[in-house]
Amino acid sequence: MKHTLSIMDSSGDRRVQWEENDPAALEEAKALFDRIREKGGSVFLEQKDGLGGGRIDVFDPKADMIGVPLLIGG
Amino acid sequence: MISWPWKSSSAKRAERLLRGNLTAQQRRDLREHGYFFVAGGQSRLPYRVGPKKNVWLLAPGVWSKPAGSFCVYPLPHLPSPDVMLAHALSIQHDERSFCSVAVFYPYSPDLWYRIIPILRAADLVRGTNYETFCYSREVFPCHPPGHYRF
Repeated sequence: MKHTLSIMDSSGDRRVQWEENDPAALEEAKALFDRIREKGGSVFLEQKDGLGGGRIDVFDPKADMIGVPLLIGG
Repeated sequence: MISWPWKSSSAKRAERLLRGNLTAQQRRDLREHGYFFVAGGQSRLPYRVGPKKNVWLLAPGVWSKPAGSFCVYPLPHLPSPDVMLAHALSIQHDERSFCSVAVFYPYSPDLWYRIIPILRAADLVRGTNYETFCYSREVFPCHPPGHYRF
């Protein structure tokens, strides 16, 4: 089963997909997850039709996620 | 300038992601009004999330005027629906961080008397940007700072 990390960017979003039995794709997704958090961003679980969801701090290979860049006040 | 409905390809792509993460009621509000409501994850207070970094904090049961608004945006620049989703996710699942980062502008001191006890009960005053206003002479001119008892 495919899982997705949608990373918000100027094009709308960039999507990275992986399957649990594909170590290379999994590694790439995990690296992106870590990079978002290193830059001060947050990662949330996708909430299908507004249900579920939550912030996650550790990469979950079985979850669909959304990467949000750093928020700043102005 | 009206930024909704969105026309650029990036905004339309971002809108698909936004709509997939909204409830049916939120999608209806977005379609009809260009904004939707979310509940704060800790406080359960209603927030109105609109385009152009337009986030209002509302008092329970008072939908017609904001108790205040926030200025907060993601870096780098994102299409408006992405910004709305970033706001909504943060408010719902990480309200304390949102309130710590977002610059808050209070509008209605009369509503603040109703909201502050809720923020205090949810532990959202100390260490967030609400703190400045909850103890501000401008918002509560009759009391010296730090002497409120709610």
